[in-house]
Order: sequence, then C-alpha cells, then structure tokens
Amino acid sequence: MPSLTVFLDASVILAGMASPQGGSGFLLQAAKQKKIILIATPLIINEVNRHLTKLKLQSKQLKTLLNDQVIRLVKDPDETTITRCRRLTADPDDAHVLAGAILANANFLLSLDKKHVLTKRVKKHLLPIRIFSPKQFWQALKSF
Amino acid sequence: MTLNTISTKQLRENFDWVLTAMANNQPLTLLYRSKPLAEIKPLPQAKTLGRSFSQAQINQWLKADRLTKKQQQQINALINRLP
Repeated sequence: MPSLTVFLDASVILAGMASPQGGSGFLLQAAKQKKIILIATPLIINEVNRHLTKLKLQSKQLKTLLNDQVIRLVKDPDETTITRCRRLTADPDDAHVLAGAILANANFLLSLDKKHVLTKRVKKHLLPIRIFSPKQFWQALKSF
Repeated sequence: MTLNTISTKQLRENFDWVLTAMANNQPLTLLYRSKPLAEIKPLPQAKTLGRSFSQAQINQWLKADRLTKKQQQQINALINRLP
C-alpha cells in the first residue's frame, strides 16, 4: 500500500495528461503502478475538465484517470477553511487548492503555479504539508 | 456588513484587494480625491466555478514541467524503487 499522499493542483493534472514524459506525467505513471496516492477535489477536476480542449485532450481521458483511481477524489473544502486560506495567496481563487490539501491531510501539494501557490508564504503556512512543483517533488523523493 | 474603502491608486496598484474583498462578499467604497465615488460589490448570483487559465499560462506550465532524457530515466528508476 503506497504511503505517499500527493494533492494535485489543476496545473499538474493538465500537464500530466498533456505530456506523459514530463514531471507531472510521471506522477500519473507512479500512481498507475500504485506507488503513490494522487488526490484532488471535484472543484479541481472541474477546472481541469474546462481546460482540456486547450490541450486538445478529451473528457474521457480524465474520466479514465478517475475511474481507474489514478486520481482519487476527496471532498471539496468547506467555506470556512477556504476563507482562512484566502489571506495566504495573492489570488483568492487559489485558496480552495490550499484548503483542499489541508483537509485531505496530504503529505505533499504539487502545483506548477509559481506566482500563487509555489510561494514562500504558502509553503511556510501549510507546513507540515510540503509544497513542490512535480520536478522538485521527484528531486526531494531521491533523498528519502 | 462593514464598508471598507479603497482609493483609485490602490485600485490600480493592489487589485488583489478587490479580488479578496469580493471573494469574502465584502463591498468596497471607491474613493477619488478622498471622496466616495462608487461602490464595488460582488454580484449576488456570483458562484465559485473555479479558476480560468490562459493558454499562455498553460504553455508556461508545460515548459516548466519538461524533463531531460536523463531526468526521465532517473525518475523511472526511482518509481521502480518505491515500495
């Protein structure tokens, strides 16, 4: 049973689906092999779904990831937790991502959003959840 | 609900304040030359549908996510070593 629980931002899911040989793509690969647990909320999946066409991807590819439990769903965060997270990020629309990772008790939150999620402030306040880009995650995993 | 104020200069330079206030359902009074000019308030039917990402933003993510052949091999080996 894999012990690493990784919460994914929409950016990582989109990149992973579009580019299997990128840092995000290898996350999906590792989850398919049941080496790590990938999680996201319905709200994040909805964001991914709305942007699939920009990458010439189809909804059925996303459905397969969910049906095969490559990405597992956890509940959307409650408004109280989202509100608490709004002060941490420059764009309050990103707060649900931070709240989702907190409520899911994830070990890691992975995102490609340098401007709003991969910031010192967010990293500091979300400890012990570690916040990385997929590339940084693989780098960090080497030392485990 | 408390009415907070924001100057036109702050509006230009700190638009994040407006986003935060609207997300918290907090109306703002816009001041021009220290006098109230307008009220900025969230639409009552506004509902969180999630974020919108531009094509440029997505392209940037894909670029940042790229790996060299060597990195791909290392990650493959790492995945195989995971319990």
